Amino acid sequence: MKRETCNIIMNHFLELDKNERLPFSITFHLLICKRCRTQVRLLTQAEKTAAEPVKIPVPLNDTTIEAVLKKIDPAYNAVSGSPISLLKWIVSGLLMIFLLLIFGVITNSTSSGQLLLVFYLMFAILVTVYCALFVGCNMDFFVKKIETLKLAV
Amino acid sequence: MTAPENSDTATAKNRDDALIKSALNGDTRAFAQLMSLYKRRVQMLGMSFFKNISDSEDFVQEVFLKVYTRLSTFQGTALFSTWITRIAYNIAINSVNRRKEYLPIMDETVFPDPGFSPEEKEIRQITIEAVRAAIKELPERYAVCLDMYFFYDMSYQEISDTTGYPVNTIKSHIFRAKKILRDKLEHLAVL
Repeated sequence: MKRETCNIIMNHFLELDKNERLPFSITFHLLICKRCRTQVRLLTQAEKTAAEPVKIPVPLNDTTIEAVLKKIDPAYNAVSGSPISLLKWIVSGLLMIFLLLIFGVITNSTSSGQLLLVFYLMFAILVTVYCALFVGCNMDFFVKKIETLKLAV
Repeated sequence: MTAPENSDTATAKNRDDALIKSALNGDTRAFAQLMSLYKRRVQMLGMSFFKNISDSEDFVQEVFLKVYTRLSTFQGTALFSTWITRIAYNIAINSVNRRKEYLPIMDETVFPDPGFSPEEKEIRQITIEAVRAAIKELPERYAVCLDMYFFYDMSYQEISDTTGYPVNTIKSHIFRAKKILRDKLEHLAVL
């Protein structure tokens, strides 16, 4: 008798569509029948694992993707995006060091100690902000570099 | 089969909608991402119809060029994955290069491994065998329906919309396959 109920319930379960909500009758039966519960778990897992590979994305630099995008937009370049240019950072950094040295030379003999301290503190803050902005603006670049190093190790 | 997948579907839908919107605004990289997400699906369908890598690659390109030109007609009533599969299926069916028989997904080696555990691998292999056994009992033209349900994660209605076969026919064939699958999974249940 119990086996017959299990068959009816399982047939009902097998008729269900993808993502269809379990009817109460099935849920209730699963609560009290371990055998059917295991079968349902395995069937659900089977469907999930069967459809998993089709959902894995291919890399953006895949040759077919590039070929299609070249046809759509001849200027397309998968790798380029926004190339990181360090030139402006190097120029502004050198300029900052130069100004710091000039300030040091000019104020070396003339200014008072207190005034110098204030200015040097200001420079220290400026350098810190510069470094923070440099890292923050190029976060993606640094993360990729670190990941590459990790893989190399 | 059960409800928890719904949230995944909703997330995927939101992601696709955003990418489609960007692509329609001329963002080629957004379209590249859509291709990256759905290329494997189209490629697998191509392999079933064309049975060789070269023709399948040409097929993938043809499908995505068509998808791009028709992207503005996508209304969002169906999932993007279903829409793209429908376009791919129609192109494959009408292609002069396609082989006569549809080759069902049977070979485990054609799938990339997303890092399955040994148990998941076994279950997956059993699923492939069950679908294979069910397909043997069916007229050849319905093999694609079983593949679409089990391997392309499509619902009865989506399969029917894509292939044009009646929902009830599809449902009964898939029911038979699920029964075979249940029997084959039986030994795992007793472990």
